[in-house]
Amino acid sequence: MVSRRALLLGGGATVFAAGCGRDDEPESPTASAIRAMLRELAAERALANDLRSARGLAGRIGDRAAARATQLAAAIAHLGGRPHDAADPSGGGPSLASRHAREALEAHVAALPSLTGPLRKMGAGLVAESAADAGLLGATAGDAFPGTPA
Amino acid sequence: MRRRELLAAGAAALLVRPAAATGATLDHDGDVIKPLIAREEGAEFAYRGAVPAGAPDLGAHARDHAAALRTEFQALGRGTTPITIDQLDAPARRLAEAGTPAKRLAAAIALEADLVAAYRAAVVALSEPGILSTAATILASHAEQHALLAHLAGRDPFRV
Repeated sequence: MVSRRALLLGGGATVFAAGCGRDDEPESPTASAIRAMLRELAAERALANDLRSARGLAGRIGDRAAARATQLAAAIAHLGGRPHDAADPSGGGPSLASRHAREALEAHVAALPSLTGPLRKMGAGLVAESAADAGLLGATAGDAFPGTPA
Repeated sequence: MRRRELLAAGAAALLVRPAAATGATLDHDGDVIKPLIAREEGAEFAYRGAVPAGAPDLGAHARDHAAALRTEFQALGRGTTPITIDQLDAPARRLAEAGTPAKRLAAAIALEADLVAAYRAAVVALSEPGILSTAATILASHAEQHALLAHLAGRDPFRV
């Protein structure tokens, strides 16, 4: 015969196990940082791809986006993530640069809460750099709060 | 969603935050943004009648930034009195006192560079996501303004 105490223990264990399902597990800080940086990386790759053949100021902005992408890929790899998991830019071209610059800035702003320590410091620099680029491309001028997450 | 609605939602989120999260961390965040409110008020003073030709209305931007930060600050249960003209920080005072268009442009570039540095430091120090997001978008605004003003002046826009 199963005692009352054993039944209660069994029921408690069942409830505990049900509460430990994969869907209920909060994302680890490292996984959250990697996911946020993959989004940033994809956005910067798209901008760099748009301006790959550009010259002058636009060419410099493309080079800066490529450098930020390299920096992000290194940070992702350092945390054990896979930079290749970032979505590859498809198509692209100078006409899309303004939109992609705005998306990159939004990604950098949105990533900040997931980043701590040296990564937060890097993130602040990415926001400042990409905002300058977006402004010069005419993507954000006139907005007092550029990069507000959509 | 409009910026004002975002700010209101952020402030509301702060008000309903569990008591455990309203301790030292939020006090610290308030301490971080309090001087930034004064900086934005100083910038608004300095840009009155001194916005370089070809630039957006930077005084209005500074006023919007101060209002956004003040909303966050009040949501923390804190308040601060607006600064007076006698309390301008040094870069804002240099802009306010610049006598020629060229000097105004140079002073505005210096002011924006100084604000970029201040917000970069703040973004590293903040914890509450809503306040962090507001500060980050203001950092973006000043970085953009610095680049545009430097470009107007014929300088390298990427050198801060």
